[in-house]
Amino acid sequence: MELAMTVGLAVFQIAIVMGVVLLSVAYMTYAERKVLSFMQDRLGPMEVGPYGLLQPIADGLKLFFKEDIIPSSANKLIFAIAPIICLVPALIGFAVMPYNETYAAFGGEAGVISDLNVGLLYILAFASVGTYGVILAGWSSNSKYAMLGGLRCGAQIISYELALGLSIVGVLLLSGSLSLREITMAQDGGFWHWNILLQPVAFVTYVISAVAETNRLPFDMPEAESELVAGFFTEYTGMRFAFFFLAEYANMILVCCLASVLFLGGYEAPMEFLNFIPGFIWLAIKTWALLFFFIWIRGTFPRVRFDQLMKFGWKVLIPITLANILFTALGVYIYNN
Amino acid sequence: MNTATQVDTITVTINGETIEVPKGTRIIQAAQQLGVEIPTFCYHPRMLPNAACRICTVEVVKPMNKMFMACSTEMMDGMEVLTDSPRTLDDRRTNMDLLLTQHPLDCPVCDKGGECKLQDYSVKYGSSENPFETKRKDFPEDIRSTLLDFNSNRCILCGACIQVCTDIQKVDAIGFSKRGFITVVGAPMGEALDCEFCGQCMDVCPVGAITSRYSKYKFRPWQEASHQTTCTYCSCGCQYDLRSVDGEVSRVVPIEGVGPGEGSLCVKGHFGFHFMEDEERLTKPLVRRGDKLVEATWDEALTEAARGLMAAKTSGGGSALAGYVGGRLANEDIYLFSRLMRGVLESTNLDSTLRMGGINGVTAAYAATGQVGMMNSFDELRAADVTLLVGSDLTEEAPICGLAVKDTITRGEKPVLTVDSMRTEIMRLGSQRLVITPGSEVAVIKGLVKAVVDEGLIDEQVATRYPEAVAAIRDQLSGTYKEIETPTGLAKADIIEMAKAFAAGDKGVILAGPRVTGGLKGHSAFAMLIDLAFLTGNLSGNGGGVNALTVENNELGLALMGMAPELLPGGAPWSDSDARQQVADAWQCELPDFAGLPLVDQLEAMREGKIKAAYVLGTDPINALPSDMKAAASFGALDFLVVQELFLSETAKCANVVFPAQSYAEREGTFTNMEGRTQAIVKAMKAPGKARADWQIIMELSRELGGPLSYTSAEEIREDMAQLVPQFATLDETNADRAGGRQAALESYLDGAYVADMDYRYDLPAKLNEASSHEMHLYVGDSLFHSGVLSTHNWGLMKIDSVDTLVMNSREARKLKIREGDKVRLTSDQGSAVVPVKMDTRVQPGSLFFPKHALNRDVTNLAGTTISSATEGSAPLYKFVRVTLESVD
Amino acid sequence: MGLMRDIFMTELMGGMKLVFLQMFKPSCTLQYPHVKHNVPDGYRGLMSLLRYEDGSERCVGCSLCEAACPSNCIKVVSDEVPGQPLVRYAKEYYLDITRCVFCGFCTEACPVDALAMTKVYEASVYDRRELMFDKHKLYELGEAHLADGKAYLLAHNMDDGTLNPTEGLGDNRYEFPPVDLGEGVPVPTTVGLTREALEAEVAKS
Repeated sequence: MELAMTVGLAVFQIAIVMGVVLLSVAYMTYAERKVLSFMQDRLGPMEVGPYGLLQPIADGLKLFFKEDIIPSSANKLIFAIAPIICLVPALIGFAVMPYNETYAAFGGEAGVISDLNVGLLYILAFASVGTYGVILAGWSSNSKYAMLGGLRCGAQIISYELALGLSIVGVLLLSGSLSLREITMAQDGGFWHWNILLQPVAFVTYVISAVAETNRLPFDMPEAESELVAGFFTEYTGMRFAFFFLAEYANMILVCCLASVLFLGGYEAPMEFLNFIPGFIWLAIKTWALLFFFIWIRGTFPRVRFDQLMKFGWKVLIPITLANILFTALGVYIYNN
Repeated sequence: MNTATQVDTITVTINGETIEVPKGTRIIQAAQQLGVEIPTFCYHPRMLPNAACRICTVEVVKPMNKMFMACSTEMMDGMEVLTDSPRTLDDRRTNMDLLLTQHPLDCPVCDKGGECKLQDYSVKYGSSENPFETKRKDFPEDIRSTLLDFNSNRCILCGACIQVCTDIQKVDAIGFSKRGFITVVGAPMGEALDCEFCGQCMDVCPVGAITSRYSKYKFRPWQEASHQTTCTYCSCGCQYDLRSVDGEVSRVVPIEGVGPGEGSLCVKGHFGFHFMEDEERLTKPLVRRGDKLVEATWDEALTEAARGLMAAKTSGGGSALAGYVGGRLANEDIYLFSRLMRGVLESTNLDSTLRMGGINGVTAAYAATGQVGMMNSFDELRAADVTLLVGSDLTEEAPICGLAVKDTITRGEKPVLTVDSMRTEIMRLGSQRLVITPGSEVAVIKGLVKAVVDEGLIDEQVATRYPEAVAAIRDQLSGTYKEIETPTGLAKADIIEMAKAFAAGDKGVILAGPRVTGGLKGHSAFAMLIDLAFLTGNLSGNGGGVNALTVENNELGLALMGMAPELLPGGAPWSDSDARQQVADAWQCELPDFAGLPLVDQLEAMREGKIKAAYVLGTDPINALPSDMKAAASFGALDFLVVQELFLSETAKCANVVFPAQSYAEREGTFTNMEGRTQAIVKAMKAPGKARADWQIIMELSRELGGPLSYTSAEEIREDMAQLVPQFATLDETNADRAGGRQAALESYLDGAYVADMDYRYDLPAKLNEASSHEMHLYVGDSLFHSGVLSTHNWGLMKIDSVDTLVMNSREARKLKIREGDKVRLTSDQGSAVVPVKMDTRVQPGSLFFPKHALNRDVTNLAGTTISSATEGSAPLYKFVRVTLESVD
Repeated sequence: MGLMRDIFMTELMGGMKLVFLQMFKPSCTLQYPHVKHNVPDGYRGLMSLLRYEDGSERCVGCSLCEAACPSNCIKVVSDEVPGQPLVRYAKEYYLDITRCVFCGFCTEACPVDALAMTKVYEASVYDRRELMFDKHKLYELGEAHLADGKAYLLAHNMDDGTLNPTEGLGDNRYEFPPVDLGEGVPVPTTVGLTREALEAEVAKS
């Protein structure tokens, strides 16, 4: 019975989280196109549904019904599973994401699918697995563009994962836990408790690294259109292509969610009196604000060169994050004593 | 040419550039030498300056400072001229303004638009504002003429058209009428223009005042593709520019200064460009299946033809085959046909339309002089001191050669002596004329030789240097003038007078037409003319000579290619075994050693079944020959007949296989004109359907027969031909060494040639005095507007002249109460024919003329053909017919 | 200062600010095909052939448009109007609109203002062959968009104002000279080919 309830709770939460995430992914594409259009004095999608609201669904249907082409000289097995390797880690991260304060459901406590005490490590670990999907896709396509895209992606993600991980260390030092719920709860009681105020540098480095981590402009070297056609998924079509697409957007949401949790208090309201608004809404607002920021920089900055990207990662971001850890550690030590 | 250095030269300066020019050079000519363009509307290099348009004004600085007309001012020594000084340009602008006061702005609908001098010069020299009051003329456009439209509104009254008509064409068909602003150009008395329609007025018109009805609104100059090619009608071989729009011929444009005509064209060349597009053209090979000719593929037709010819050859050997060629085929075709017949099919029964008389000009000339073709070029005809024209209506048969003779009258004011049974145009223009009884040319010629000998008109040098030759000729002329006066109807004094006039000239040129070579004793008559030239010193390389005129455009090509049983390629006789061996070596084959049959004998052999198969190219013997030659029966008796034609001719209708050939505008090749110039034809349009070039067909047939012929282009064939006949080595050779050729001719003549057949030569035929119950003489010959049957497929020429009308003397017609258009019945021993009548003073009383090309064959069939002896070329004589004329009411 | 600018990324921020503010500016997109452009009179749309008010063809078949065309997409076959000697017209007129670059040189070259460009810019069809306009199609276009054509000519100063329909039959009509066919032959009026005649011709072919 207890098992059934546990399973029921898990399934319920998974359904909710996945539903919301996938819907968000879909509408993220719409939002991106719309926002970019507005930034460029355009209208964006307008034809499918009112103001083009059904565009993501139409796109999804289109991709679903498109022919699935596997290049004859590709490594078929790897080619086939690469998109899945890419997508699954992007979605799996949401398992440890606390989306609300604890509430009762199915006779148990809900608010996060699984409150792992090493939640952050879990996310970082799976984020790295996603890189394999990209590299394998690039390699298995047996195409020079895809290959180059995959290699660039590997190099870029390894470089920036370091900076990303190091940016988080400051937060960990402050909260003293790897559980995302606990990190969130540590920021309880108004926005002045948020980590962003204590760790502004870490927040900036995290966001920059996150952009690079998700292969977004201005760091979208793996799929740089002008050089590599479509990068690692050049040879992909139909649903497999859609998987990469989903993975990219799911990753964006994931890193933004994580940024909200780590630096912006997660589902916590910025002010006490705003507590009547449910926590998941706050999380959504924060996440979407960050996603908007992603789109915004996409609309503003040109793509950097690959050597500039690497130089920035290794020579600027990592020293800064290391310095940040040092100062944070010092601060924490002095504060605690 | 060595006299050129003795001409006085003067030094003149144009735009600062100094040049030495012969005395008498005009400013415009000197400027052209320097490449300086002076605008002109009315100046024409072949005409005297008219100085009517006033646009060529230039500033002369030295020796006097004045404006001059560049076209008419002869330059003085040390003259300095400026052609684009401000003063000149100012004057030109004023002239342009004046010209444009009345010129309508209808360039968009004007056929001249795009190549109009007035347009070009307005842009170059005109102003954008005209200070004068402008008023558009509004004359009705005269389109009454069949061919030429006169738009007097556009006319700038430069007079070039009238001048070309008067000076070059010498027909005075158009002129100015009225005065002042209402001056118009047109036919006299405001009549509709009905002339020779040479179209030269249209060519020289700088604006669009004279335009062609046949090309009306069909082209824009910039849309046209241009192809320099050779005219395919008469033997003059004019060069012209065949223009086409989208592969359809739009018009023919003469090329100034190029070719035998130097830019003149006749009506046929100029407006007869429609036969290629005739819908009756054969487009696919036809093969006989039962009673019908059905369309077939080339493979089927070639196999069938090869099978038929081979069957005849296997059953009866080479002598069971015959070949007959027309004079409109290119040299390459004739050459290949000759090789096919003689080399591959081993037949010598090979004849051509030369047989109709042209052969006599060839064999007689070759026998006496060792050469074939005209002795004089057209340029030399123009430079002749005296011209004797015998038995040819030159302006109808070879109009451009006629222009050369007219040129001696206009420019040189030299005597032209004419002997003919018709009052031809040249006869009217010439200085002396002998109108003879039809068919008596040979007698007159003898009379002229006799007069020269008897009256002591023999050239002194000839008399002293070659007394034997003179004596030999003198021996033959012991008879009285009576035998000449009776058949010709001439008086002794007239003949002597003409002989005196001819002997008086320094450079005497003799032109013998088809009525000499194709008349009674044609061979002898031409030989006598050679004697005449010899006696008067015109065979000695002084620029004179004897020339046989040919009719079909490539008749000389036929002769040079040896297209007769008695000829070999190069013109040598078949009997010459050395020459035969040379040909056999060149072709790497054995030539059959039996002499072939001429056409008339071939026809008989066909009826007797000795000839089983025949191959006819580009001619229609069944239609051309009078019915008493039984051509239809002969060809009908054949087991197998192959015909290669443009149209489904009468002969083709009897054929077992008909090959569609390409016209001259659809292929490459060469024609040799009467002068001996070999000129190229080029591909200007796409052939209809699957028609192929004649040489290709012959080559492929030869391949089917296992023959060795294999060429990829006409050019390649020509190179091959040049080994045997050096004349084909070079194209457009105008100044072949004629002086040297004449020297060789004289040597050959003195080397015993003159004595051959001497007794026979001067023996007048008894047939001359043959009495007949029919009192009228009918002559069936060529007319200006048509050339054989080919031109009857031209709707353009048919529109000008389509009705088969009998031409008779106006006065005689009046006497017989026959009016224009009335029908008359002609009766001869062979039958009768009914034809409408046209009046003309061209024909003398007692004579009648009927065009050879006429679709009405009844008149041709009136002829009772006599075949001349083998010495006289075995020619079928059927053009002179004795008939009785009666009015049909 | 430079260091501070680098640390706070002022230049980048400036750019981001600009982009952000750009979002609130009205969009310049036109919702074609729901909303159509307001095309000016001088617009160079599909080519058309015009008629005179009396229905006869303006085109005299001079081929100047063909000569002026930089993309060689015009083909004019001119001839005499059947039964009217010397009256020139375009027997056939082809315009390959797939090759047309809409430069309008042809209309400028036209001496009789027979060519005008309409405001039609939606030329897509399902069959390429429909884009090979023949004379009939061009006159149809001209009839359907006569006002546009006239406005075009006015806008391009190719007309002296006589095209204004309020002032009656205004046109750059080319007057063909009268014809002298000799006595007793009636001189035909020079009206060019009428619509009925053209339709009869089309029906025949």
